[in-house]
Amino acid sequence: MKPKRLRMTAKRRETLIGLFFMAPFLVGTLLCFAFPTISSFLLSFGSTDTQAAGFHIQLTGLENYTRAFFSDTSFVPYLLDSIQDMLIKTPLILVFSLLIAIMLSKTMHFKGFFRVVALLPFLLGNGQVLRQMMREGIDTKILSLGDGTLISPEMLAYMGQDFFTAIDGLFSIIVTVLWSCGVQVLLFLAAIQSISPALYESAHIDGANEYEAFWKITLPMVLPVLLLNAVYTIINSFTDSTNPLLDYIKTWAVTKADHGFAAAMGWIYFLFILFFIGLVVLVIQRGIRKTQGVRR
Amino acid sequence: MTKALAGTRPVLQKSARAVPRLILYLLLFGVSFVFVYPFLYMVSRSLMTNEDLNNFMVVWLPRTLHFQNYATAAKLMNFARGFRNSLLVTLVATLGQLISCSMAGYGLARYRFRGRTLCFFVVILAMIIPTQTIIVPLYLLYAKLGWLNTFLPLIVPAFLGYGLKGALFIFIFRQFYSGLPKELEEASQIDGCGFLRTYAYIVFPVARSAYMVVLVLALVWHWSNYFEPSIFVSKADLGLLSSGLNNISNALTLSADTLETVYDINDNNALNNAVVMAGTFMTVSPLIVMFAFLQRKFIQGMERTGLTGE
Repeated sequence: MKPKRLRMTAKRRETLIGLFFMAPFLVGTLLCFAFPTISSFLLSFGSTDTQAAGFHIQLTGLENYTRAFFSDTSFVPYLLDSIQDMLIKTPLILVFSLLIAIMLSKTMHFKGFFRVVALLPFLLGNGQVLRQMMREGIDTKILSLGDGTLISPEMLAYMGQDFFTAIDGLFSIIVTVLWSCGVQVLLFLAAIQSISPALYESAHIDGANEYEAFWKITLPMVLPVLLLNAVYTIINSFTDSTNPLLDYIKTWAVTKADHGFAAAMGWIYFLFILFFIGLVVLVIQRGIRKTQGVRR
Repeated sequence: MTKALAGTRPVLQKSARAVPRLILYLLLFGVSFVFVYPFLYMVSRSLMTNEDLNNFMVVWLPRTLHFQNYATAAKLMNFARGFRNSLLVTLVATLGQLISCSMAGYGLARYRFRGRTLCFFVVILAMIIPTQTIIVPLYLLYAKLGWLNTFLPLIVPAFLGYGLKGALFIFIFRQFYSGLPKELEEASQIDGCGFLRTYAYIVFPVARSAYMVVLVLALVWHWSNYFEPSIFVSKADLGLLSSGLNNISNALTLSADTLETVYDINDNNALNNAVVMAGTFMTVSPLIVMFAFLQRKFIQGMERTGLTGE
């Protein structure tokens, strides 16, 4: 620190340097975040004039919100669909990615191969590429009873149609879930590898088996990453490019140019996301606080 | 599952470890199968003729390698143009995010200034609010600035710490820098380095792994991003690869006449799902090449980012 040359207190200097590093972000916050967020919020309580030239909001109160819930026939079903989808998939994604990460963290043959393969969903599984693959019905094709290779057709006939569709549906969900695990596996893997092997050794000397070590060491140690992953997974599930509700909002915003209504739907959606994320953060934070005594 | 996790403790006898080991490999190969399958499917399909697609005897190996699909796909996507545009946007936007997000993350992690908590809160909020919620005012803003139908809406926010998942990157950098020991920087400052030189010579080299992680994530996400470009950039000359890919599947529904006039394709059988798969493969192949080069460093970096909240 050289307070003499710059003639200011250390504290002021720190603030200035801090603001220097934050400068691009602060400009960005004004331009790309605060302005659009606030005006979108206002917009949700009104409507724009039909001429695109100006940005005049005519306030109409809660009309857009009541319309979304009570008059619009598609919004609520889409919303419930996305919530249901999230509720089913998020726990599965977290469990699967933790298990895969644990398996990948073991010393074994073909380690490099498995790790690269585990990253494939991350490369292929987003945006337009995933869309095209889904259009091909890839999620139902990977594991399917339909072609008769897994279980013979006679067996299938014996077990009946209901069983068949149930199993195929289950397979499809598992495949989709596995394919959504890319980033989460990476984060878990990073977390697991930073756990000191000494912890496991001492637990083992005290007579703990693998199962106990998982619950007493691995899980508490990865809880902070579990939190990050849970939040990421929820956001991802809600803002995925294949999400029909977002397409619906986009249609209203772009094609039909009813900006107020689109904004209102967007905000309702955001509140739901916030609610679920808040819930997850609360639960996991409590878990973290509980285990803190054990960890430190 | 838990059985498979057993058997890595060196204390166990070798014979006792064999069975869990086997289960572990079986599970891993099972998972790998699910991950590799779509990739192989894509490659194999992309080389099939129309007859192969409809022939149920042909499952994996096309009877002839029909490279014509790639030519058709390239024509429909306007591959050369899309590749050039995508490369430009991806590289510039990624560079922007590397600079701005690492700066913001460093500022948040190292300096205690007024409003720091508020800034961090904004980062979290920006991570959570879907782009779709604020896309309309953004559109109107960019329209007012005259940025529509240019690459500016995709590039400028990236230099300002926003853009595609910018807040997440700030978060990653912040977590990483908070985990770094402060002593290195203090030592360099005592030796007379200003904060900029400290950042350039001390912090940056140490933080390389975090940069690596964000680099790969940003490259992949920008490359396959579709939503923002589809809204802000509608001019054909500025088409990206991701929108080109969309062209192919849209072209599947076009009539033969339109195909001939617009794309100069006069073979009715030329257009099918094999072409879509060829286009998809062409879109992801640059990513795969990039990843083949960066893979090792990326995974090492992932392990060191301190995202683990130690």
